[in-house]
Amino acid sequence: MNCTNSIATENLDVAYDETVIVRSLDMKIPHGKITSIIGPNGCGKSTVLKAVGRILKPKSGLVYLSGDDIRKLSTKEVAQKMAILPQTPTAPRGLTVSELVAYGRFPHQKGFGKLTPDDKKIVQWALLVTKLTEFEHREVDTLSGGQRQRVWIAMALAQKTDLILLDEPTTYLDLAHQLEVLELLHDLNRSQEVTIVMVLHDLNLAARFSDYMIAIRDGNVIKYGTPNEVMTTDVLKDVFNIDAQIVREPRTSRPVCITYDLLRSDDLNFDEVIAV
Amino acid sequence: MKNRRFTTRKGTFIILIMFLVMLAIAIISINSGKMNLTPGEVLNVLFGNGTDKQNLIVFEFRLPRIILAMLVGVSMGASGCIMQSLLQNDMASPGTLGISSGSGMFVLIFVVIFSAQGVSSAITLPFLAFVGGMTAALLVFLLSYRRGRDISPIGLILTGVALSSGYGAFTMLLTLKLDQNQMDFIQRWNAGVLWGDDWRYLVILAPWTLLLLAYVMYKSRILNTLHLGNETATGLGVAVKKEFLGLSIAAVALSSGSVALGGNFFFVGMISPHVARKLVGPNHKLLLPASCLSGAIIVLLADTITRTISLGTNVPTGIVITILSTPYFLYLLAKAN
Repeated sequence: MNCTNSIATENLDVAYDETVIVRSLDMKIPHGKITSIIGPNGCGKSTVLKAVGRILKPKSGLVYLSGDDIRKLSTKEVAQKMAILPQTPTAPRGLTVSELVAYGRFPHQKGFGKLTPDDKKIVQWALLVTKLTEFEHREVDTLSGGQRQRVWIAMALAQKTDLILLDEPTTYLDLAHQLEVLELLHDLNRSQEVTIVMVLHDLNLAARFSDYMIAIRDGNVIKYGTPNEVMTTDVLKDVFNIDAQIVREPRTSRPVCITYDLLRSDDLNFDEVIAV
Repeated sequence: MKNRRFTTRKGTFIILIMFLVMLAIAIISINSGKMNLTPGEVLNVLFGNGTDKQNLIVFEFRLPRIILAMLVGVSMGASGCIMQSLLQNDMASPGTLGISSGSGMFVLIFVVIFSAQGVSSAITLPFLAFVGGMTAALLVFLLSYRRGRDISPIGLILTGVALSSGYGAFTMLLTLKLDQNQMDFIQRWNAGVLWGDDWRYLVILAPWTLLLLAYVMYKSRILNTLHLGNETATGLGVAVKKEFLGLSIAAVALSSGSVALGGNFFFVGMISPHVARKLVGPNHKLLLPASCLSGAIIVLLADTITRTISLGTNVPTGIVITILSTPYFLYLLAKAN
């Protein structure tokens, strides 16, 4: 139970009904850093995030949130320390940006939950850092995908937590908007010291914006380390079953995968397969 | 900058107007009927200066009926609003969880075994309708429950649909064995007829409805978060399982109560939240009362029409509602897309 860890899991098993998705997972998320979880489809990376975010109840094992056993905290106490952004959340029609962001104050409110001046200040702050102030009275469902994602991030920010979990925050966004969202998270991490944990599909974006990467396959951590340690031909071969070529990208000097091929199982030669 | 469509002040104002409209219709409704009373006469009666005949008309016939209509409308409106938000489905109604077909079946079983006119039916019938509705909904929850998993709105809806058709089939089977009298009663019950307009029932239904309303109003903030989806709500620190269950049981209890005395008014439960959402927006602090009031206005208006305009034989109020509101509902749906 190291307190410099924002999250630690111990022997975590997560299952849907009888199918075990994640097996005895030990994972550490350092405080104040950006950590990305990568892995192939169905490897359990979203499941890990959900289990850590207590959306899924683990079959066995423990999750520690800044050193505390998460089961011993009330869900409201957890929400004061950790915000979660599910994949592609939807906002009810007619809800305005500032209303949705104000819902982020929920874990800090009591009773009927009238917004205090403090709450309002925090909502304004969240709108400001996500550059949404001019949209505050717009309805969420009239915004573009990138703006909408920023609204949800603003809601998570309004929770005023040290830790935000995001499940594929760039889904359905174009190149520019993907970058915009990740830049925003990066800025928040650097300026507000918010610990960020996210599941990302795009390896190169993960390598570019993360301090640490966790590569998962079949519910097990294959490799944990800095982007330079994780983005190697060997690791990607183990995790994705690909033959990847990794180079250092000139602008950010981060590793990128410039091209890759599929690896065939047990090195069957294509000609041999045809012959069989 | 675009003007804000929904604000708290505007919403509160609209709710006040709706309340006044409801009162106005209630007053008109007291005045009108097979025997017209002037507003002055009604006032006299309410202040205790009416003739015996006028007293009888107002206190024994019209007032209880009006109060019942309002209670049924209010609870259907609230219940429908909660269901649509919890299940995140605009087509959900209190009937989605099988309450309508469940209570219908229980009522039918009673009518088959006994007759609808017996002395015991005064208390047994509404009680059975209530129990039937609650049982049906609880069964849906039990059947869609998966160990270690979250409550799934889709699972609930599908189980509700499956059970409803099961009840429907059994109901049909029983219907074939009815005589003309029983058949009439059941058909009118299914169409929605405000039959429990008797003070004996109202003294039970009114506090029941008001207590449950107070509970769901207190939970309106939770409803706001649940409307964002169960995962987001969990992230915000809502004990989703507990609150989901509590709110849906409240919704079921509200509608079962009114279905017991009013019959099948689930269509009101489906359209009232739509009307309300259009007027005050998605915040449940405003949406819930607006949905209650629009439910009350719809039922009251339809019932007043039923009582004043002679449409041949005694037409069930529910039929009038369906006829009047179907075009409006279609219009809403057409505009939404």
